[in-house]
Amino acid sequence: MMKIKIYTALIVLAASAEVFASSVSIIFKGGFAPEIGGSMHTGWQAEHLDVYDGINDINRSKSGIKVSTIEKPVGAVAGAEARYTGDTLYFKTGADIVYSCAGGSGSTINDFGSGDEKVDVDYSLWFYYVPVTAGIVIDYWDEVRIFAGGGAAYAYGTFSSSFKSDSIEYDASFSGYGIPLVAELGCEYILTDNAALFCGIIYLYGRSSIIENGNDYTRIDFTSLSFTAGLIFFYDFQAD
Amino acid sequence: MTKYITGIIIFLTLAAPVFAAGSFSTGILFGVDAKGGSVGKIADDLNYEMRIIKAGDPAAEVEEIPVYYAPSLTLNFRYLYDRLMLQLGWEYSATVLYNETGSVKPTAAPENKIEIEYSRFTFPLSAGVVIPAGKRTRFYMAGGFNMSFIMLEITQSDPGSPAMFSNIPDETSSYSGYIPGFHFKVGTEVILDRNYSVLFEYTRYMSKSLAVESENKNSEIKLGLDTFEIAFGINYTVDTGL
Repeated sequence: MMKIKIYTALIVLAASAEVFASSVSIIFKGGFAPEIGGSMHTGWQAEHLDVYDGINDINRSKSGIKVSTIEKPVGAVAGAEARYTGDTLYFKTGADIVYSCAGGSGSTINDFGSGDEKVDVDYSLWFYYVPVTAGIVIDYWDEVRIFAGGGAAYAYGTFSSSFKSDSIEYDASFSGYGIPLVAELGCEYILTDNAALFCGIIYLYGRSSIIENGNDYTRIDFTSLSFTAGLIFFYDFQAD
Repeated sequence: MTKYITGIIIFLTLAAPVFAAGSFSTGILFGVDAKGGSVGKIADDLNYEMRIIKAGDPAAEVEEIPVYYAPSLTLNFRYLYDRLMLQLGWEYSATVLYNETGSVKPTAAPENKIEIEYSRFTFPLSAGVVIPAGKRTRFYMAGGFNMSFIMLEITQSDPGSPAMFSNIPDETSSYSGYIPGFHFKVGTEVILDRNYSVLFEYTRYMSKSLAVESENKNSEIKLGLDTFEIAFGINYTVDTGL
């Protein structure tokens, strides 16, 4: 089995050698991720709020108590990447950051032993990731290129949660890393010999291992679907 | 399983008249199963029970079971006719080189180490369309049904009496079963020369979870295939002279 893998890898590299013609690109992009953070479940929520799926089952209401729905955070995305593009294959890496900029806060209801009371909740998350991806380049007409590929990323971030009511006040912060999988699809419209407009979709899937903070624990979920657009600057060179 | 094979034979027989022209190819892809097949859900359930044990015994030590991606190897046999594609695959995915492990150490009992070993064979039958995108590149979209044979073994170093996990009372619990399902895939292909091409493929597997009894009939677990894979590979088109 190992020999088959080695021979296959050699065939792919040999067959691809002649397509490595050409350019290095620098990409600057920004966008948004509609939902980040996964369930945002923590041990404290299970123990004190009877909430076992984080943000997915924390919303409760009762007549006489005004609450506001806690929606999943929306993330702002920004990044810079470098890409090596051949005739048909590309390799890419860079650095991207995702920061929750909306959502994630509101209020719910819980009984801590002296009747139902309103609990103000706030979830926030930020993480950066370094993707390493490869894939296929498709030239479409003369001005358009489509990219499809995948790989993995190193992601590191911090998740914070806070819960406040008349009888309790609790804040927790967790930091950790994970290796999410990356699948991406993008297209670019070539403006000049050295610049193009870019848009794309990136799907990250993965989460950290368990992170403990005193008696509390959680996993940081890096899973997200990001929509981004930006500019690409090409630097062509001839490969030997 | 018999019904599945019969369905394939009937489908191929009905489609036989179109095999007058077109191309045959075979491919090998290396990929990653994002949720480790069924392991993700099973590990989450065991982790939840471990946390319930800790809630009742705050001094207990818990190490949750992580879920890693499972590598996969796929062999494809494909027939292309004009813009239509018919593909039969053989896929193997397993938690090779590592098994997911966790542990729970109650205050008044020995530590119980839990290990999950998982592997599956999946046979996807896909039909779809090929969309050319240039002289040497094309997209394809396909879907179909698949049959998976999933093997799972959960070992515990000290399950306890009464059992710590009521639904897994034995030290070793082995489960295996056939799980039918559906899938959808999209991919891109770059033709390198007359016979070779490079592929990138995203596949989404969907299936219901079916209850499977352990080999010794002492316990039951739900097995399914609800996951996605990304894979890269190489395809070889056979010169048939057609």
